[in-house]
Amino acid sequence: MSEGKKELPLDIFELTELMHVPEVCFELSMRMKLVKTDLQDKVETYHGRHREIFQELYINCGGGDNVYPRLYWFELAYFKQNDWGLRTMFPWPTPVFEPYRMLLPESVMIFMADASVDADKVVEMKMEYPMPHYRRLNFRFVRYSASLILGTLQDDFSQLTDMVANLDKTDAESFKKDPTLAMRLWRYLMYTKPELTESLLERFVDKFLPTVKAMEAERSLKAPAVSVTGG
Amino acid sequence: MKYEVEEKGLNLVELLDYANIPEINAYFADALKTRQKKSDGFNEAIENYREAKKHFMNVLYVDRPDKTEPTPLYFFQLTKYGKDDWRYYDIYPAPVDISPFEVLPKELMVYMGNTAAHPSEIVREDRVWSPKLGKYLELCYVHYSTTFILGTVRDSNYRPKSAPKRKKKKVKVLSEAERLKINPELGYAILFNCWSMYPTLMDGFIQDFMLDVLAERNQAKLDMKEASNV
Repeated sequence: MSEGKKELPLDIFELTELMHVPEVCFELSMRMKLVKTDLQDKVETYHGRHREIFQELYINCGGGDNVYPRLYWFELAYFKQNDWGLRTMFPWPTPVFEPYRMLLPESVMIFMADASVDADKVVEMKMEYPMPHYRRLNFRFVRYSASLILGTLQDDFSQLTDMVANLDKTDAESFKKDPTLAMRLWRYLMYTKPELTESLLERFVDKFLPTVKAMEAERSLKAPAVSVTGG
Repeated sequence: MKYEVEEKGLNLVELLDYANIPEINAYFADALKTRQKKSDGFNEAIENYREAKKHFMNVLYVDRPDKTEPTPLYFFQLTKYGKDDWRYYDIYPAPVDISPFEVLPKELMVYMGNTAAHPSEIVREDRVWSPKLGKYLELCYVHYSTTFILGTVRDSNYRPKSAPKRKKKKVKVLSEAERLKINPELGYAILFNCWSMYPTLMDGFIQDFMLDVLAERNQAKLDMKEASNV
């Protein structure tokens, strides 16, 4: 059924753009009618297989439970050459402290898209994101077709257990010993106590931003600089 | 020429979904390729579209000298996904610190979509009221087709003279912390930006924050223990 990785004959951007041409739109609407009748079996096969993969990778693996580390379902679609985008992510929206681009950066999407894998087989992959936004993630995905990747991602559980067990002993020394600990612990705290967002941002504005702004002002006296704060 | 696409049942969401099915994507591609070979004006229609789009972009935005005065002018392109479902195809320049829907709310997208304008005729409206934004906007737009609108938007200069004078509301100026409290997405966007640019500084800040949180947590635990002993 699926045909693995190859160049698509019609990309999504092109299709959306062509929709604006009345003649093409008319043609496609006629074709759409035929698709719904003549190619109905293919559509049903697609939806059926899609459901199976969702069941296998997400529902059967505890998807839907609001626990940490959270299991995310994602679908990536091919838009045009070297341009893959997120089509669906679930649960959605991702928490405010975790924009989806941090979970699934473009480079990772391209990596999955370019990976030479058998179509329709579940691929397991571990990814480690560099500092400062360090994280280790487990991916399971299926290359459904040339234009579609379906899969799940979840933070590696192994890096959580030790950290939680040693919470009482965590001090400034612990952060020096393990540079990844700060990021991992921060994420854990934000997931388990989302109400911390308010005090974090308050402190960030009151204590951190003035320091950065002063630094930027000092730097701009020497050379024009790009402001990170927009101020 | 105005095709009633909706009556024929073409829905962009559905079409895009089907286009992800390889066999159907190939089918659409073949259909269009075959049609292009017929030389019955199909290719010309596509060429005309590209030319017309370029023309309208120039007229509506590129060649206008008043892009920044008196208020910023935004150029938008809207695509129809379904009945009363218009979405941004593009907006330029990208709004900074505000959502694109604060520049042009959805209600006005639907309003423009339902305006009975002749295709390719530029409509200028200098006082369109937006209940959502609570202000008048100046719109200039063209229906290229039933599924595509190009246009510009900016705040209107119009101030109704006859309108009853309302008591001026005292506007509370929000502090930066209050602003981020109601818009944590923006707060985190700035925070992550700082994290990328000043990783060492930010690490220190985050570590201090977490140590405080942990200390509070440990204290709370101790208090509970003491309370249970009593």
